[in-house]
Amino acid sequence: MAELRTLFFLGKGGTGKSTASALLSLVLMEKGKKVLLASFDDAHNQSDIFEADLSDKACTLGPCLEVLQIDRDKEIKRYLKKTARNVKNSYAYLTAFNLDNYFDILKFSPGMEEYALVTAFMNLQTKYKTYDYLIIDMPPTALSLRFFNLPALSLIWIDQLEKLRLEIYKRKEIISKIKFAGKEFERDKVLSRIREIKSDYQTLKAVFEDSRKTNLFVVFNQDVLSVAETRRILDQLNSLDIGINGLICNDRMQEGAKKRKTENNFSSLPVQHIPFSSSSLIGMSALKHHIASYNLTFGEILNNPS
Amino acid sequence: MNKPKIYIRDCIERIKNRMIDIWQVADEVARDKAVGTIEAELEELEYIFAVLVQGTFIGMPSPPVQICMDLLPLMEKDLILLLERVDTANEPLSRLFSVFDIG
Repeated sequence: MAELRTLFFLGKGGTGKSTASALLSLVLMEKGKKVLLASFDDAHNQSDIFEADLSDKACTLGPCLEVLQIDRDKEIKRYLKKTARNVKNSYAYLTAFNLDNYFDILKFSPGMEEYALVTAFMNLQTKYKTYDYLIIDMPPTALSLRFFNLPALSLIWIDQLEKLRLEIYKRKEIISKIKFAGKEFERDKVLSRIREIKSDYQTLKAVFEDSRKTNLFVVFNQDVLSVAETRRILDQLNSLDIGINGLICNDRMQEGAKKRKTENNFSSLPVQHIPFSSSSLIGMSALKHHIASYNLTFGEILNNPS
Repeated sequence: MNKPKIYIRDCIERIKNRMIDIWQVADEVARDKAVGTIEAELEELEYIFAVLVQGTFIGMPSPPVQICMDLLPLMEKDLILLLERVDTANEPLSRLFSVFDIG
């Protein structure tokens, strides 16, 4: 059985990430690959592109193509509800009293958005592990970078917390040995949980860094701002040891128009062009027509190791 | 004629038990004294850990919120420790003196 390959589409807002990911999904579907296209972007562009009312339940749009729209708020609420339930189960009644008010505020905490996306990503990876491709249409740059940064950043904190907890554990061990001859020494549940969280983030970080499992593509237009942002995305991801497999240049100009030199900035990476379309690429037939007209295969970027 | 023998044996047994009791109390006191400072240090580390992880509730810089949330269900004791510390927060010197048994 082939391993699930995840393809992320990043880029500046409005460059055409949703269109590019929809086109690639159809190309792979035509090849008989089993594909799930998941939109992580709140803009709900995939619903408009496929003219379908998408939700977080996968909607079948082709013989082996399913599409869904992640509901970030729902993910955050689900996570906080689960945590509140665990707190109520493990705390004495009075300590957990009135805790709901805290959790109502916590959903607005910084970092919850990217965590909701990471949770959604991990769930999709488990649920659709028998599929050939998981294609993810990412939100604009800032949130996407925070998403990829989350495992590395969390691991820095987790390492420090683990060290501190180990110091606590060592002292408890000494006290137990001297005071109770080692009889009343219980396992540190917090330390165990920290190690579980660490293992989860290490796995996730490894998935992001493994180019056999995960490929990233940046979509850009031939304008200065878009190119500059693409450069920043490459630099940021490079600092996280996450490689980019290719670029997708969504042409916004008529064929034959003078191309700027901006493309040359990324000479080391293969570039897939999505030619200009005079009509809107909305609906399955328009997308299929565009693929057939320009013989779009995405072959060069799909086969490029990062 | 067996009675005195029983009495002596009984006495020896009582003395032995008493000595064991004294030894146990002395041992306990010695062990308590030996770990007193480590216990104070442990409490301080647990307090630092609680402030570090749950500092978000009191506006302190803290780890990403999901780490705090993941650990929260296991940290009831630490939260109680945090609340207890509020009472003695304005008397740090007296706390320190009592830890080192000064005065």
